[in-house]
Amino acid sequence: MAARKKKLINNPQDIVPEMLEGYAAANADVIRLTEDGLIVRRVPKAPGKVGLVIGNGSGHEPAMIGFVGAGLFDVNVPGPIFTAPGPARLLAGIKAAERGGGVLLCVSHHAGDLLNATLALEDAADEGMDNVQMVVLYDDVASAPKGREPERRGTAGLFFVWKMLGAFAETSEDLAACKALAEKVRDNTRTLSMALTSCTHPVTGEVMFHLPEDEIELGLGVHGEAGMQRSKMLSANETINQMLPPILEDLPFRSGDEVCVLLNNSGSLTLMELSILYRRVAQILEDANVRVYRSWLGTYATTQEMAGFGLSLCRVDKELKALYDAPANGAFLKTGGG
Amino acid sequence: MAERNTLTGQNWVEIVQTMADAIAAQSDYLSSLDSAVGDGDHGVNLSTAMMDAARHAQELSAPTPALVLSTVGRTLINDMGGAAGVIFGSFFRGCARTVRDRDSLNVPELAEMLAAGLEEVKARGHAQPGDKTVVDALAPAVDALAAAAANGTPLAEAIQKAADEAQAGAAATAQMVARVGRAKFLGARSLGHPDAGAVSIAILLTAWAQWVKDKAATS
Repeated sequence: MAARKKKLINNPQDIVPEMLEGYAAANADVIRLTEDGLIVRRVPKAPGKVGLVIGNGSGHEPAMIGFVGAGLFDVNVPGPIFTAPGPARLLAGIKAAERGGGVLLCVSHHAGDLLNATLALEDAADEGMDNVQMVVLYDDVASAPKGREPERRGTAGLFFVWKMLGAFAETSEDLAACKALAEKVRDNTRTLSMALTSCTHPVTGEVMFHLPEDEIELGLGVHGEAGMQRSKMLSANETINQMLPPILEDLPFRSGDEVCVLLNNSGSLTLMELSILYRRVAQILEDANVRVYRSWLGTYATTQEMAGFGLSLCRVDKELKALYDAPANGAFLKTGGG
Repeated sequence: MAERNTLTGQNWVEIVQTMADAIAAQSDYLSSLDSAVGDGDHGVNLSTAMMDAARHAQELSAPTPALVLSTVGRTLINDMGGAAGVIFGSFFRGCARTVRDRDSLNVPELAEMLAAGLEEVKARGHAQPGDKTVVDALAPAVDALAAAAANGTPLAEAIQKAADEAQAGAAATAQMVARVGRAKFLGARSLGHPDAGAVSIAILLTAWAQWVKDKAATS
């Protein structure tokens, strides 16, 4: 077995609790770490509003610990590294998010997240919580063909759901309307991802998947799950030339549509590279007469130090634009509005 | 001393510990299988969770087979997390379901128990034989134990047959393309490696057979 890859940690078994403790301490104005390991808002949202919860495997920071706060999530249930939290912890999260308006459990579609969320909802119903629902979210074009969208997995493009649903639920007392809004954003969002390098599992110290030095992977998932194809190294423009058309065709995004764009850094890509990539995205969208409303380049959901990115488009109308522009004060994501 | 032909709750406490030790011993191997198709931490996660489950089982003041099995199931579901926590936990919880009122289990009851575990796994995971999952190790073991029960096979031999079939079933997953779970996205790239979950089931059942063989005489 090869030597452990370098990571600045202490005992591998303490990674998640020590990360949560440190992150909550550093963002104590916005969030708080509960005794049972939930990240919750420092100041709960107004009584009667719909609570938003998400559980996820850790290792994708700032997702999702950085997305708890005003205009975003009420509670995050962080699981072990790349492992969905179990139903008892999700149920604790649901209870912590209940403000009298019901609770929406958001599920980024992966087998473990869905199985555990299903059990948590059954347990909530058994305990007499009758105003709890879940919404299953997915955006990755590479993981199932068009027409079988519900089989697709959740990746970085769900950022748009977090932002817009968070703004919506801040003032909503209608659980069904929150779920419908989440589905609307989901159904208008498409993502493709790629990677130049693999990354290290922080607990085992082993490489997550093997990618030859001179190859890249197109269409992979957030844990390095395989996607469309491996290819020889491409330039920035060639990469976007391969990735953007399948996204545009899938929804499809049409001439005259307005979109938000996200270029999400999976870990160790540079803003220099993201900017060069974005330049080509903007050129192609302009040629297709697809108008860009807002663009985000940055590190929102990671797979450790993987070098790669996700390209996401979300078609927006007046309602979604307003929600996108609404203020958010999460531990990580902070937007001023407007 | 007579030959053992049933398993009590206290026996199950020890069996679960033997299972946990066996998974711990193979933890690196299981993780390496997982890294071929997943994120490479299955061995660590299952080992940690089984050790916790064994400890919780030992803390039971009056262990019955069902109580031990459901304690293991609950621990795996709640503490392990991921798809594997639900799948392995559901297996043990399913096993507990048909044996609730028994103080000890004979071969026909064990066959029913294992079949119920398989049913629960299939119901939760929506997996069928051939999908490259735990079902491919578990289903042949269930058949073998049912046949042993019908033939009046003695306990130690019956469990050994189930374990042998689970091993063969797990090995056969190397030739299968994953159709459910995270590994399904790998398509043909999942060929050549046995499924880590199926191998884990084979290790659990082999540990069970080993315990029964080592403790063949009633104590």
